[in-house]
Parts: sequence; C-alpha cells; structure tokens
Amino acid sequence: MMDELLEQFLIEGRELVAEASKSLSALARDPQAAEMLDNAFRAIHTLKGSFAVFALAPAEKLLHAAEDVLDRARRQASSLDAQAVSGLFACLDQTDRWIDDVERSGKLPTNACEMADRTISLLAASGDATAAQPVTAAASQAGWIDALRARESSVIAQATAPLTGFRYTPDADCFFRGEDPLGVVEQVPALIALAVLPADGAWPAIQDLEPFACFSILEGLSTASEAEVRAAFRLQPSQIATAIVEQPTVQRDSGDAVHEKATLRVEAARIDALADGLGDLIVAVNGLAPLADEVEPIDGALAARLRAAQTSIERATGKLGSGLTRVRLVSLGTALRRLPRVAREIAQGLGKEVNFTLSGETIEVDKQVADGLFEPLLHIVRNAIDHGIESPETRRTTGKETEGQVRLAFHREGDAITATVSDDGAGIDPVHIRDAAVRHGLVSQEVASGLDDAAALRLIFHAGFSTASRVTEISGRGVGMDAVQAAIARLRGSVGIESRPGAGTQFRIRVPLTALTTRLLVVEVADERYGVPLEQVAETVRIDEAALTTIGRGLVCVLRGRTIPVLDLSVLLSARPVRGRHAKLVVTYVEGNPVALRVDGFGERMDTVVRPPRGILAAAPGVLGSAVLGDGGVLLVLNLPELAA
Amino acid sequence: MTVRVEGGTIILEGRCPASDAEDLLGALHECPGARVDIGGVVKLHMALLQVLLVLSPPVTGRPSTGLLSQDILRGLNSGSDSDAENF
Repeated sequence: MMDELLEQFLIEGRELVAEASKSLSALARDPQAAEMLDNAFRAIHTLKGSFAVFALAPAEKLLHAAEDVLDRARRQASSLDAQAVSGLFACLDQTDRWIDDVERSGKLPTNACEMADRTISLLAASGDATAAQPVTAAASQAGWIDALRARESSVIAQATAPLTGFRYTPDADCFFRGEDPLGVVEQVPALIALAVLPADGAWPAIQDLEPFACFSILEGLSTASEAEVRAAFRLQPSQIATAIVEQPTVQRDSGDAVHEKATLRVEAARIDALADGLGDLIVAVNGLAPLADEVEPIDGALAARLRAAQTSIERATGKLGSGLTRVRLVSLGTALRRLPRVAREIAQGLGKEVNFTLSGETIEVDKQVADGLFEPLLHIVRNAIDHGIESPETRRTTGKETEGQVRLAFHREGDAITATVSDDGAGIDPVHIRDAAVRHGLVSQEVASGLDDAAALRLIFHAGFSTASRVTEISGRGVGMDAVQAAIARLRGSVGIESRPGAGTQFRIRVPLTALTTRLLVVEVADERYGVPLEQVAETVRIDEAALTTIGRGLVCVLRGRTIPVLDLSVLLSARPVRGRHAKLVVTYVEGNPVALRVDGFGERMDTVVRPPRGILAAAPGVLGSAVLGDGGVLLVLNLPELAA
Repeated sequence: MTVRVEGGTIILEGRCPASDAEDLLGALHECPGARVDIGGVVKLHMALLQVLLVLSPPVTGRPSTGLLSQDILRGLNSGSDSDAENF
C-alpha cells in the first residue's frame, strides 16, 4: 500500500511540478494571466498536500511559502514580478530534487530544512524591491548539483564511493587581489572532474570581454570527503558550495530498467480514444444480430454461422473491454489519499477530537470514478466533522467518548461500489430540517409536514439548503449537499442518508465501478424502444394486471410483502401505452425507496457506450444520454430515478 | 613574457600570470583564426583560461602537468583542428 502510494506520489508530484512550472512560465511571459496564477496555485497547493502525506515537513514548509506568494498575488489581483517568478521556480526546482531524493532513499536529505529556509529566503527577497541578489542567478545556483550530476554522469558512474561535488563562484574582482581560482581548485585533493562555466549562463561577447574580471564558475568532483574538499577552499568560504554525489548503484540502474518495463505511462486521452474505438466496435458488432435475423428466412445455416461469428467477436471485444477497463483502474486509497489528512486538519481547525478511519480503500475503480468521488466525499466528511461531531465538552456531557468517530468504508456490490460515511455525532433532526426547509422557502409547511423523516432528511440535498445555524469557516464555502448529489449523479450514482438524532448520521453513496460501457436493458414503451442502465434496475417483474391496486390517485403493487408505488413510464414519457395481459415492471430506487415503472415490454440487454446528451436532449429531464445501435439507430437512454422522482 | 606569436601560432609558455590575459587577448585580436599552443604551459592563470574560453581559438598541445591535463580542456579542444593532439 505504501509502495503504491509512493509510486503515485512520485508520478503525480512530478506532474504537478511540471504543471506549476508550465503555469509559471506562462506567467513570466504574461504577468497578467490570472488563470495561470490560479493553475500554479492549485498545483503547488496539491503538491504541498502530497508531501504532507509522507510527513516531509521541509518540503511542506517550502511549498506553503510558495503557495502564500501566489495566494497573495491572487487575492490582491496583482501581478508577480520577475523576481517572484524566479523565486517560485527555485521552489519548484528544489521540490523536484526532493522528489528524486524521496525516490532514491524514501526521505529528504538531512539538510532539507536549511535548503527550505534558503529557498524561502529567495521568495521573501522577491517581495522586497530592494533585494539586491538577482534571483535568477540564485535560482540556477540551487540546481547546480543536478546539472553537474548530468554533465559528469560517466565519471560518477565509474566511481566506487560517494563523491564530493563542489561549485566555486569566485568574486568578479578576485584577480586584482592576486587570487587565481584555477590555482585554488588545483589544491582540491583527488580531483576527478572539473568544468569552467560562465557565471551568467553564457560567456560574454568578445567585445565585452573584460580580461581582468572573473566571470567564471568552477565546478568539479573529487573522491575526497566533503570536509577535505572544503578545506581546499578555506580562504573562500562564502564562494563555495559542496554536495555529496552518490553514484547510481548497479541495483538502482537495474531497478529503473525494470520499473520502465513494468509501467508504461500513457496519457489519459489516449486511453479514452481507445475506449471510444472499442465503443464503436461494440456498436458495429451489435449490428450482426439484426443481420442474422434478416438472413434467417433465406439461409438458416448462414444465419447460424453469422451468429457464431458474432459470439466470438463479442467474446474478443469483451476481453478487450475488460482489459481496457483494468488499465484505467486505480485503488480508491490512492485517489483519496489526502482525505485522512484533510479530515485531521479540519478537526484540528475546529478544536474537535476526531478519529477518521478508512476501510475497503484497496478496491480498484475506474480512475474517472475515483477522482470524481474525492470532492463529494471530502464535502461529506467535512460536514460530518463540522456539523456532526460535537465539541469534546458536549460529547462528555452526553456520555460519549470525547473523540468522535468518522468512518469511510468502501464495499463492492456487484458492478457498483458503495462508500459509506458514518459518524457518531449529533445526528440530524428531521424536525429541524423541516423547519429550515420551510424557512428557506424550499417547501410549504403542508408539504413539509407530509414528509416522513427519511424524506425530510433528503431535503438537505436541495440547492441552497444549509442547516448550520452558524456558517463556519470550514463548511461555509458555498458548496451545499446539492453539489454532492450533482457530483454523484455525474458518476451515474446515487446518494442516500440516514440519521438518528443524538446517535449519528450515515451517508451512503453508490456508484458503478466502471465508466466505459454501460449495460443497458432495452424496454419498450408505446412502440418505442428505450435504454435503461442495468445498474438502475433493481429487478424486472411480470405480474398479473389484477395485482395492481389503486390507492388514492396512484397505483401500487405488493412485491415480497412490500407495497411499492407503480408509475407508468408511458405517462412519464407522454406516450400512449400498448397494454398486454401482464403488467411488466422495472423496479428502481428513487432516493432509497423502491419504485416500479410500468413498461410495455422488455427487450434485449446490451453493453454499449452511452454518450452524454447534447443539444435539446441535454435540457430534457430524465435523459441520461444516447446509444448508437448496431443498425445505426439511436436509443434514448433514460435515467429512471430522475424520471420517477 | 609568456605569450608570443610565431608563424601564425600563439604560443603560451611557462607560468602565465593574470597580467598576460591582456596580451593573449591582443594577440588573438591581431591574428584572428590563429592557433594557440599551450603545450609548454606550466601554470595557466584563470584570466587566460577565460580568454581562451570566450574566444575559443583552436588550441593544441597538452601541458605535461597540472589541471590543464585534465578534462577542463575538453571544451577548449573541441574547436581545434584535426592535427591537434587529442587527449
């Protein structure tokens, strides 16, 4: 688990550094680019969080300082000057090197604190217009050892013990003092590599050459110890920097090679393109069935062969599909790794004692699903800590342990996963919810009174609903539970809530495991065919017309001892039903309660790609999207819970 | 005087102090394209090395001792012509 986290950290860390660098480069070109400022801020903020997971405090501190600089610029809507950008680059460079260190040794170098402070001082200097030190030079200075390592890689590779690298930056006027930097370097014991580099990044133009000014930097490698090397520069202590250079061991080399073989990093867009291609293939294969039907009356044997061919292609595409799905799988723990830390921070900020536990996080889901779950789960966890868990004093007076429990548990249920966030806090009082809903004008007093407790609790998912009598710093960010529900709906999932006043609240999210193809059940309504995602179908039932009972203005039926409402899909779709002797029902769950939808007939089941609705369809309620059929026709895919709600 | 010009070649010899940098620069200006022979150098001051690095004339010869026998001259010699000694 740790290894996987670390691997993810290395990949994402480098991506984030790259992302932030890209934004900073854009800012250097156009200091007014507010969007780039936001991008850089987000990347550095996330990066900071990633380091925090591994308790790498100096890196966290450094990135926090960088984040502050960006945040200040964002809030003051001011542009960053060139020095600030350089300072930020120095931070990113340092961070990148630390990521390398973490990869090599699992930790930061021992002098990381000093390095952090030194780099932070560059950032601080950038805020000060009188800062004399050109940050660009300082920033490039910070990266010298990596450049040296790259330049002298062949020398380093041949070394059998750690080497000492040095960078000697003589004063420009040292020649006048009778110093000869070359002579100084000659005193370095066991020198095995030396390079003379231009101090300003490039040699001066010939006409600008000042023969008595020193404009060089000398860098080299020695097999002597760091102390011995430093001793050679004892008269120039402020002009010398040294670092230990570990040679890459044979093990590490082979490890890297294996690593490269074992993992292949592919742009997500390419996988998506493959998935689209596979979708088209599935659609094309679906076209064989009607073809076989057509051929059947003319040549039964040919039709049979066609069907056999279809079966084998389907088997192959099925394998391909599951392979492709696996490529996109990530463990939930990896995608949500920041959650426990954020939970701790929230609790700390609110002065509450909270024990956050996570279980089932090794379950693998499609990356899109895992990523999509982070925000809503974070919001629910935040609410649980902020509004659910009581203060330690309150908990003590009500006989609870002062430490509140917030649990996030994942379970696999067939083709779906459930995420349950439960707390042992104050719970939600339905009476309070009803009052608040009426007060906010969400529902009338009559409607509110008519709602049972479960339905009343669901009012919190309405836009603009907030039960907090005081808006706290943590939860008062303008994202309500409606946003959580919308985010879950985007994953084609559902969210339910249960609460017992005084005992705690439980949120249950259910989302399909995969996002690529959807298993659809075709239903017939008023001579039209519609697709219904199988994950929304709890069961299909065929019962006698007589088993439907009218209660009030609605129809109900009894299924396994439970009375459930029956809605007519043809009515919901404003179409004319075609009735048979039996009532055909599709049972789905609406806000946690079973609802049966009457259809005229059941068609086949198919695996297909549901494309999100566009244009006029996007505005139509209850439409999930469309699927192209094998014969080129288009199937409208319905969102049953939305239609039935 | 450790800098002299002989038959289109600038020859550096012995211990070359910082003050010779100006002479070397002058010689290189006077004889553009001239080769610099450093085979007889015992010690080269940083100031002269800088001139060689900036003007990058073809450099030949290999000092018998000292730093210049090291890979510091890899860069210097890259611009040298084919009859330059390789090391």
